[in-house]
Amino acid sequence: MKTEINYLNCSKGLKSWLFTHDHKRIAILYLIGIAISFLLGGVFAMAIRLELLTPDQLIVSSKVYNQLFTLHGAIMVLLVIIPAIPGIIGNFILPLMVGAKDVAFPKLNLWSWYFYMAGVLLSLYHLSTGAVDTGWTFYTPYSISTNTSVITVVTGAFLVGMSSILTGINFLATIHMMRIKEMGWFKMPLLLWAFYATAVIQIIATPVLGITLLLLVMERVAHIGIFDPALGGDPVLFQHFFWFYSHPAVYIMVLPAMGVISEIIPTFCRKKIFGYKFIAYSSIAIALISFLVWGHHLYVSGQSAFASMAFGLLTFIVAVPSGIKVFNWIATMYKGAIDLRSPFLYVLAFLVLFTIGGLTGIINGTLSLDLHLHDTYFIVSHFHYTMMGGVLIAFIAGLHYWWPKMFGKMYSERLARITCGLLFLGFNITFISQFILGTRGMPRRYHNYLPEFQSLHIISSIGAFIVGLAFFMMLYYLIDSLFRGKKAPNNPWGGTTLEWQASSPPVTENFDQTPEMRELYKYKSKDEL
Amino acid sequence: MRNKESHHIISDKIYMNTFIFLLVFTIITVIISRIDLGILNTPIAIGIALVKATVVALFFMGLKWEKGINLVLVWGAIIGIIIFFGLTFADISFRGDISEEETLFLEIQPEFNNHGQKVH
Amino acid sequence: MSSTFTKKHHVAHHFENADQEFKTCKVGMWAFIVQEVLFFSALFVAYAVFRGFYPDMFEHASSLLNWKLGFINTIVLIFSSYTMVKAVKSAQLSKQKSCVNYLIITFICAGIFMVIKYFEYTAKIHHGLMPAEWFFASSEYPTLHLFFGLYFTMTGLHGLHIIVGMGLIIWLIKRAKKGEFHKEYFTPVEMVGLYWHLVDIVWIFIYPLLYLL
Repeated sequence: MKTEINYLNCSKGLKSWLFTHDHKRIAILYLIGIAISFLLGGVFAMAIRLELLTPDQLIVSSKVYNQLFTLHGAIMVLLVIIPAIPGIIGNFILPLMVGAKDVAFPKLNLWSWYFYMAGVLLSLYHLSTGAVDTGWTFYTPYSISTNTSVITVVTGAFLVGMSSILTGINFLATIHMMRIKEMGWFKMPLLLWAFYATAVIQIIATPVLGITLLLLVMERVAHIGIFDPALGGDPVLFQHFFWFYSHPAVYIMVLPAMGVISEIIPTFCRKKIFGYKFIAYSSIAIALISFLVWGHHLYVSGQSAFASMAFGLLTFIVAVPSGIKVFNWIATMYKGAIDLRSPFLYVLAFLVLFTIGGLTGIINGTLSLDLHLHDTYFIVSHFHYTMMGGVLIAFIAGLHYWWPKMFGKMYSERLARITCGLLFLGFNITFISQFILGTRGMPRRYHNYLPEFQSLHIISSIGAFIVGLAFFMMLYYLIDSLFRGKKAPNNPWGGTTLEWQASSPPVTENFDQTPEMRELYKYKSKDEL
Repeated sequence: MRNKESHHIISDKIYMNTFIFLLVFTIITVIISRIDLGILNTPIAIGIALVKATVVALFFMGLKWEKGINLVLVWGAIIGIIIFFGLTFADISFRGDISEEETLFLEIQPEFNNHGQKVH
Repeated sequence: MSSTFTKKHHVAHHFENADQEFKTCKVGMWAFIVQEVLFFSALFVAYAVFRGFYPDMFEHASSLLNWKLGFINTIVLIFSSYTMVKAVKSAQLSKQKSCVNYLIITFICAGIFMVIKYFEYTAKIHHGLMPAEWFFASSEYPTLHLFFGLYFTMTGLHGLHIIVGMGLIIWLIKRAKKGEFHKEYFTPVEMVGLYWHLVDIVWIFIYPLLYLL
């Protein structure tokens, strides 16, 4: 049987990959970088949960413990969750979905990956020169005085930020200017609305992170003093600057995730999505409102009570568009012809876990409640439910959904289902315990804790080890599929978006012939497939 | 021709007038700054700078003839900055509204020597 | 008058035509400018916050800056924005020689700006008017170093953008000399022009805030 030429085998050698302009190859390069980062961040998580099996020191000192949670957070947030869906799924699928040959600026796209990898390498390198112990939030004045390699890692973060900005610029321009003629704004798949809204946030919020990190470097090197109370500065100002980006950043994470969900649900329910325009507009609304709420991270920082009240009120508003999406997704499932294969199982997991995350977000956003919950495990659990149970699971769902397209292979459906169940079980064991720990007063980022918290910590750690096992299983069956998986058809799930008209895997130019614009949600019945 | 449709060529007159306008207002802002108008100096200086920046954006950068997304992007930046300033100052300007402790930062400063180091 | 050696522009393979390519580049450039604006904005927020905390110190500190040199720099930069738009227009009208000349003048203006900056900086360093790490001036204002921390950060970052701009202008001059810019293709000139005006706009705010108030 003749092997068809596709984007994977059209040219060989390291240089053809490292200097590629092909968005699909760049997506795979991101996949490798992000997988390595995820593995590293996961190892640190396992170390943390191992240490916390006992109230006192078990395997590491307090100083090392501080480094572990800092690195786990920084790697997962900056090197995994923020870049994953745009970098991998966005880069691969977006041009296919608009019917284009590539993104608007392919060379810039490669530079996005270079900046990302530079960030990864600097972060790895800094582990040898004094891993940071400030918490991933780098609050001053400790981040000014700590003699760990803050400047190195912050430079890495700056470069990763540049990567994100350039990706946002690329996606905004691509979606705006390169859709095929027949694809009007309200005929485009919801994933594109999601990436568009995400791009707006990437472009407007990320530079503020950049300047904040630069100012932190200036503090360490020149002692400019603006964040240092000993020099007449204001440490709360650092927090304002930091969270002006970092709150919208969580929507950079979650909007693409929601976009993925909006693609998978209609396909696996063989039904038109409920409330297309509501979901589209809610993506834009989330992007806009996300800029108004950052002060809910500063409720107990010393900011004025007036600001706390203003941000508290605004924070309630941001939950509304997210809620609208969840209702619309569920309404789509109602009376649909549901296909329970693995991408959809991961979507179901997302719906449960993200909803829990979102609801506990409202609890944390309530000023009076956060006074008690701030810096406890309740917060930790909330953001793991949204970032991991939400974004990461959605990313996994998308990875499974588009895996046949990307690699031309089907993975083991059986193993995928088992892994999904194991992951869901392990995740909830890990983090429900942490909600309880939080309400009982267990503070976050603490190496030693009161003995009364130990049993819940043990349960949480067991859950974490189950999660670790599930991820190793996933790594196994996905890599195995590349060698032993069944050859994938062009459209294994019966999707109606343009990427399914390309071959699996696609040729370098994406489409053998110009893709035909079809009605978005007109699904063939399962028998017709 | 393709480029004539997509691109409006701005007249020399507009460019020259814009340049002269900027020169004049630079001189004006310097002159006004030499006169003590109390608390008005700051808003006037910022106001003039805003006008100058707007004129550069409209005529040198061609925003007057732009439509659609480019205009939306610029408005996005403007609104983003307003939010950034506004909500940050919701904190800064109202410190101490509930309790005395919040103003300690402003009133009780450690004494500094001229190296910016704290002395007591 | 059209140039004699005009290099034909080949539209990139992933675009349908030159018009889509030009418009897409412009969208990308405006998005980039938006992010640059937000990048500088935090510095202005910090300036406003600390001016609010220490108004007398700020008023005194700005009197230590040389407003005349700053004035010259402002004029130079505004003039360079003018020569930049003239360069873009020359390209749009296929006037190769005047495009190159206007770009050269713009570059020279940028150079003058940096030279004046150099003299300003060395004067401040000489008097110890620096961020806290290197501060040694004597002053009745114990937080004077905060002003100079902001001064060097804001003008330094701006200066870095000028230097990058100078590099971009050299790149344009080289390409313009080869006849690459004409009425069918002038995208890089216009895009660098947009960048240059942004750098001008940032200085339009820096000058009065740091030097005059």
